[in-house]
Amino acid sequence: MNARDRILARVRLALDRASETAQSESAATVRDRLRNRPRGPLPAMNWDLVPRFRERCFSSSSTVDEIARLDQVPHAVARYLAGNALPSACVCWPELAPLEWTAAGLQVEARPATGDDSTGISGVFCAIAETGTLMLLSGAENYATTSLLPDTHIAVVPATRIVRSMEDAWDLLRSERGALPRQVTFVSGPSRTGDIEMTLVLGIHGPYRVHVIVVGG
Amino acid sequence: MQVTSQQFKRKAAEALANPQLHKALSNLRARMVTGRAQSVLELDNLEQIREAAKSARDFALAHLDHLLEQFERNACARGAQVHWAETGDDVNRLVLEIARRNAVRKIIKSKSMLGEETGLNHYLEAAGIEVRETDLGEYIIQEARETPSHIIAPAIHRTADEIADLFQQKHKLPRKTDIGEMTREARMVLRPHFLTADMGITGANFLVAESGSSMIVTNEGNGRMTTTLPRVHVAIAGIEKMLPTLEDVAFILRLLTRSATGQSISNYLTYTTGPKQAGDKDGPDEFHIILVDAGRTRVLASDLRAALHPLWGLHESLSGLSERGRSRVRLGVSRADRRGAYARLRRAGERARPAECRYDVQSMRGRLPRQDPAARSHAQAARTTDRTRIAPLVRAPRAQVLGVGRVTARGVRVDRASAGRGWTLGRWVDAADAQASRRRVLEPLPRYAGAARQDLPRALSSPQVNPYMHSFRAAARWTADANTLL
Repeated sequence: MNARDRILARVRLALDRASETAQSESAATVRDRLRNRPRGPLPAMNWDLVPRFRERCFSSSSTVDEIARLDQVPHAVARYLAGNALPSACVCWPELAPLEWTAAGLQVEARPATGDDSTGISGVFCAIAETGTLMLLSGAENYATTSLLPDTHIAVVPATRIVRSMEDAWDLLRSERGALPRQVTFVSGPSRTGDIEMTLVLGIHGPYRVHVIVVGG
Repeated sequence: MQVTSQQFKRKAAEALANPQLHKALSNLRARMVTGRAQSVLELDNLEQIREAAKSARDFALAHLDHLLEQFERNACARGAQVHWAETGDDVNRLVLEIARRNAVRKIIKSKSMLGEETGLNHYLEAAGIEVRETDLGEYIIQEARETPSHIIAPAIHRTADEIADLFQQKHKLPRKTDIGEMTREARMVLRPHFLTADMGITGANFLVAESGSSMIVTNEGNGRMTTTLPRVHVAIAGIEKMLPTLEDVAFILRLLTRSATGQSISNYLTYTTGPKQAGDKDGPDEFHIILVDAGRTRVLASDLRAALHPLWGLHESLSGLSERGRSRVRLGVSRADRRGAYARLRRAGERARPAECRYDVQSMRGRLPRQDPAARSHAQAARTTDRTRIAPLVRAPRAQVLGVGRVTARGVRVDRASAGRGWTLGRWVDAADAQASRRRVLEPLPRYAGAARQDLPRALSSPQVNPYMHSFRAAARWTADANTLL
């Protein structure tokens, strides 16, 4: 017997499931639960998606901009960077590379971020209105470092990709992708800590600023 | 981990005499207690979510073996390597083996209480590997060679002044006094470690059987770095962290983040399933999960099983309190604080919710869905039985729960000296009785040896679980604190 079998045997002993019937009943119950995935109770959600998302982004210290079309993104980014006196060099996800960045006066490269890049521009898989949360998936063209290493993270969120709750986000992931990628990350605002005298400080290891651009709200 | 609860009295006395500690802890109440109450008010069906969370956890424990097997199968299918550790030493040994196999020289660590439990850092350092705690609080106490004083705020016992001295001494940089500047200095010092570490170690807030994922809840971003940048990632997790599905995690998170830090959601929720996939530009080459028993199956087999519900352990043991009392404990705030919270909430321009501004149990009940009559009468019957059985305890709820009273075969005895201090006393006892009871209470023996022990909320009555209950003085002090809270 190895450690695995001994631990499982102790669990079974603790659960008092000596008989074959009890064992197979439990296995069947587990299979059912994993197949049906019943939802837990949801709190009341009587609000509209985009306004709620915007309000929640603000309350987690993100900033929000709303534009009508995707081709306006470079100008919105340029406006934000200039307004905050930030450098105009950025890195972005490949899906955003075709936009007219140079016309907006920005130098944007489609590559993973290093510790030296000051701004990372990413897309999202979807966003959650209940909590003002961005859902990011890892993948060949979705670099995790874009939203992690630079001081500023800018996320482009199509309004059509805003869902109500995390439960809805999982449903969307299952229907569009099937399995989970290596990493699923939910981001709600800039990184923060309260570890010194419970004083809230934004920007500890991750970004200082998260700017969300909602497209087509 | 060194267990120091045996010296609780001495350590408590020392702590009470330490003005630095008073100062350091003075912010705790506003941020954690009031913050939690405020964010809990966003949920209109708190009780319903709590009940469902409890039953999801019950389900997970009742079918733990099959969920563990499912988890292992799903995680392995995605390329994760699953290991099993029977003891804390096994955990340390397994981690070191993985590190040795991968020629690891530097490890970055995201906060893990299980790592504290097994003494992982010391073990790895003794083997010549550099280990860096990266959560700011954990980093501070690692540099100060201390142990965490709180699972969420490990360095809560240190003032900014003390940390400034520590940073100056360790970083060899000009002394900063502003907390923002100190935080930025820590970011600057730790960033190179993230980029050069060979291995990352994290704990797990939950394991998800459905997908074979391990997930962590963080605010600083160090957890994301630890799971993304180094070439090896090891997650260590107690087997009780198991939940069946992503849906279960999703709704329980509404309670977790609010109870932990008063946030509606934490900054980063990170679900990791397997190592780097084909084509990925980031992520570790190897992903290991160590599933840890270390006494957990023993607790599962005992009558303390409720202690394996990470968040609901305490609430389980409040069965002697009235429903109103329980809900106040759950909200964890005094009346005055709650009024403050409502006022702030109104000022913040939240939607007007008059019923919730007079938050009480009645309105909470009203929001629960209607039960069908059969279930209701069944519950009613159960309550009646309960009431007869624990009647004496209900009559003196606080006194008994907080350990000031004594339960005997004849009912509850309450020390008369406690009577004037505003405790709700159930049964007045005559003077002779009171004298005798006080003498007994003052005896430094574990109490609750009396006949009605099985009627007591178990977790509270067991000295192993609740070291505070050993002496009358400790109990009285605790009660005084709890009374201001209640």
